[in-house]
Amino acid sequence: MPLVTTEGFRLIPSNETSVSAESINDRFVNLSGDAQAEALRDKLADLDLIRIEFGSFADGRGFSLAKRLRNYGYKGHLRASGHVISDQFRYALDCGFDDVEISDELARRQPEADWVSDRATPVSYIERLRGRGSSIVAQLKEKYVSQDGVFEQQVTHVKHYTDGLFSFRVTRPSSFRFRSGEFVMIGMPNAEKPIFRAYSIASPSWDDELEFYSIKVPDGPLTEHLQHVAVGDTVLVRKKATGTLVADALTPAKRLYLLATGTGMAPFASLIRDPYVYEKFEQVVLTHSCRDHNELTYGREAVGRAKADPLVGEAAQRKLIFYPTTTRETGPRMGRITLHIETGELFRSLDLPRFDAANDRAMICGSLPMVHDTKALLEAAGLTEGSNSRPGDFVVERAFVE
Amino acid sequence: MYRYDEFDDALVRDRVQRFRGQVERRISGALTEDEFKPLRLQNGLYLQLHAYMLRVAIPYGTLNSRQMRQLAMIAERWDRGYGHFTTRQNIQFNWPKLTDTAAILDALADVGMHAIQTSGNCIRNVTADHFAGAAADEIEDPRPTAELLRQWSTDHPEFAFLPRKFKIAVTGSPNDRAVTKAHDIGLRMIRNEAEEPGYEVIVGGGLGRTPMVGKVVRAFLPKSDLLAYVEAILRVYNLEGRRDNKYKARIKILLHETGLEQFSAAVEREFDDLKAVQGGPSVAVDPQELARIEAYFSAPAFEVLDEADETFETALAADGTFRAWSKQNLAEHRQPGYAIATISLKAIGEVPGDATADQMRLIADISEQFGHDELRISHEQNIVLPHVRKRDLPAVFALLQTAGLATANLGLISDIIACPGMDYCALATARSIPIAQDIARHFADPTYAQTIGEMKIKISGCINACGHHHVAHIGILGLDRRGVENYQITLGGDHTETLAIGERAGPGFGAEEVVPAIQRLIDAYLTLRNGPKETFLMVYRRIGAEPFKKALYPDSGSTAPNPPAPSSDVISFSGTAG
Repeated sequence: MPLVTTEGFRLIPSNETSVSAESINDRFVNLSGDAQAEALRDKLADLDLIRIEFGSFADGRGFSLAKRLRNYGYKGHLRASGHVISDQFRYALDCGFDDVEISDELARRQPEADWVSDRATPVSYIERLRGRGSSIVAQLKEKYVSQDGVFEQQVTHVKHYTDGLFSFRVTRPSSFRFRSGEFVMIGMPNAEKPIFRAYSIASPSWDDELEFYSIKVPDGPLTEHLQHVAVGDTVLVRKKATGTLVADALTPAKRLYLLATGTGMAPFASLIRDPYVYEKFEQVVLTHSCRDHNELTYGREAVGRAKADPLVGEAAQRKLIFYPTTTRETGPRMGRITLHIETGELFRSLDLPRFDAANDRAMICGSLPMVHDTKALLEAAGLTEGSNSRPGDFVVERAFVE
Repeated sequence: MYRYDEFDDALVRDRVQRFRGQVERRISGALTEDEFKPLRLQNGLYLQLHAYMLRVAIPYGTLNSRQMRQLAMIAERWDRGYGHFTTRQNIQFNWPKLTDTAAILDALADVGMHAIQTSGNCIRNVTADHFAGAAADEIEDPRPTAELLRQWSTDHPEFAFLPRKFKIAVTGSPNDRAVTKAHDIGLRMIRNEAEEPGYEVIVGGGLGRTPMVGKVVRAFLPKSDLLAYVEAILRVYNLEGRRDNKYKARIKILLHETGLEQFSAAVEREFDDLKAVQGGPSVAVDPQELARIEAYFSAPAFEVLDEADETFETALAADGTFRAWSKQNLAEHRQPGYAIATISLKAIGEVPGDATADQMRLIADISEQFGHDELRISHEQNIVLPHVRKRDLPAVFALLQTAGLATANLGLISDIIACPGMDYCALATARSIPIAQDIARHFADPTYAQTIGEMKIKISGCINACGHHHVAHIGILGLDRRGVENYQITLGGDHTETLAIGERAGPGFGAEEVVPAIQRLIDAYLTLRNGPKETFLMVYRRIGAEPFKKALYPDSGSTAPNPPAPSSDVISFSGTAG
């Protein structure tokens, strides 16, 4: 039974395969479409995994059930199971599911690429109604600019962290300008119409090279080639950078939280080496949540580089706090960052007050569910979302995957 | 009116690409026929009796001349030279080839149009008052609300696989021209005692095989709570609505079976949760976005004119046909010196709601030259020029006359709503169009039609009631009785703010008996009324159904016996409606 995740097909972790349709224990619950979410309301904080059965893809109750559980404050893992088709994957994620468990038969009919491409749509009215329209339009414009809007740059450095993660650096064109935290479209010169994907620039705006941090998607149209780049290869970089994870999109305050999962670390690796960030904020708290310790390596190195940096090192040593957590592998700090926020563990262990709109600002970058849940927690604390045109208390961007 | 920017354009084109991919994946076997069907329907493609039918959305009935010309082009290039405007402000092309549909969708995208969610078990094209932004009686323009709901409901992640289709209508005027009480959700824009804008929320109306008048679930909803409240209604429906029987799957049945009080409580509880919990409503609309949408609907640059216009008055005095048309087809505009002109698509003997490509082009030209480049499709299957200077009306009328579009019958006995019926529809149990044509021909004399006055005849070719016969003054429902078409007559329905479901008069009639039966009803009405100001509906409400039943069944003595209710196994169909 394959599991479809935001990062492609995976095997179901062995500690979860034991959850049969009948078994219900203290931490795992199976629900059918006609389940009443209200009955679980008081127990949600104790649950790690809820699996919602879809008897038929045409029965949309599971989507509303998921939404209701999330609205009741459920922060654990939410899995759709059964007959969900790839054309519904984006719906499932948007309703709060983390992944979808499908049959082998369905996985054969609708291979990974079908599920990946279902999420590729950057445009949705709902996102625009939420105020993300200008940023999406900027992305679209980037997507459609002609080839003469492209720089050809040479790879100077490649480092592989795990089977699924790597970073690389390219030369920087002298005319290329961006603000720390922004993203740019990059591609490979391997087709008449190269495929471009948005990548956060992981290096600060003053750096003389551009750094990127990427996952490797097996059949991802760009990363399947990009993961093989070597020093000296050419990478295409579009001429205009954009994005909302910039210091200017936040109003001034005391403390800045940078909240990342996975490759959502990239824009923050840039920001923590930007002196402007330390001028604007007295304290910078960077959290990074990944499945295991190896996946935390890039972030840890970025923090090390910031603290050793001749330009910002002194400020970073005084002001920057790093708070990594693992969600699968056992370690000193475990669980999703939302759990650490909700339980107050994050604040207790750093001896900080809980979120408040007067003193705290935040940037979120990660998977869709993480962005959704973290955003909800910030809003519950009274923080309001900002944008380039209207600076606010926090800003949000989804981590880029194929 | 709303205009697409690069965002809307990218969204619609992406959708076409996605549908192309889905067709390919159906062919490759990645999607089974069962899995493909709802995806096909959500892109507006029906399988009809003889061919595929493509239903194109005209959101809240508004379109411009460029869009109308493109519909004409599509009708000529890929169909048989005409299109059919429906009772839900859509246009249907009845003869496209499956292989052409992606090309048609591309052509629609070129002018900012699409067929998204015009069918399937999802939130359908949102409809609104066709006089919006023009009517003198309007409290507030319903179009920004309709557009907001359109955007919100397009590709909604949670509500794309509902128990059944879901229709929303909005009116901003106390005179309800959007039939809000016959929709899954009807929104009436109102003001509360403090003069704050908001909505009366009506849920659970619908026609179909179980006609029901919508009930007020919330007497006043502040405007800013709209999306959260609609989300709450839809979530309760999506979770609780019946999925065991498609004929009982609409929200009206849920509301009916749960009871208004309990249903409202469930919605309010969900709404409170949405307002209170940290998740909040799925979409908290950015005020800038709202302002952007509203800005699209600001009034056109009207000229400052006197209410009376000399050219118009002179033409009225000189030309009897123009006078008759003006009396019947014009409505009062909020701007002095302007009028709302309705073009009847009910020329005597023609198919109600059909327009040829040439007619569409002429209408487009007129709107561009005289009508601020704006057109509306009414749920009564006519086309509206919402903003015309009275001074220009004689010229507009002369142009309409050249194309058989100057029929002066709006609201009269020949302004009939009819569904496509057995001539096109796979679900129909009887023909509708020929019946409409027979009646219109029989009552073709304009003076006689004027004498009869306001009369709404609506015809459905099966109990799905796409022809809205339940809310007609005289409704006609075509059924199949052992292979023979049989037409049941209902009396006293009303489609306005005083919505009422018509009462069945008695046994049905054969196709050739329908016109004489209508004539008997008209004769009875003309005898019974207290002068020409008392309409058929007013007489019916004053004296009840009995005298009309007597007229309908003269041989049956005092009262017509009530026939047994049609049992559902006699009538075989598989249920859907426009």
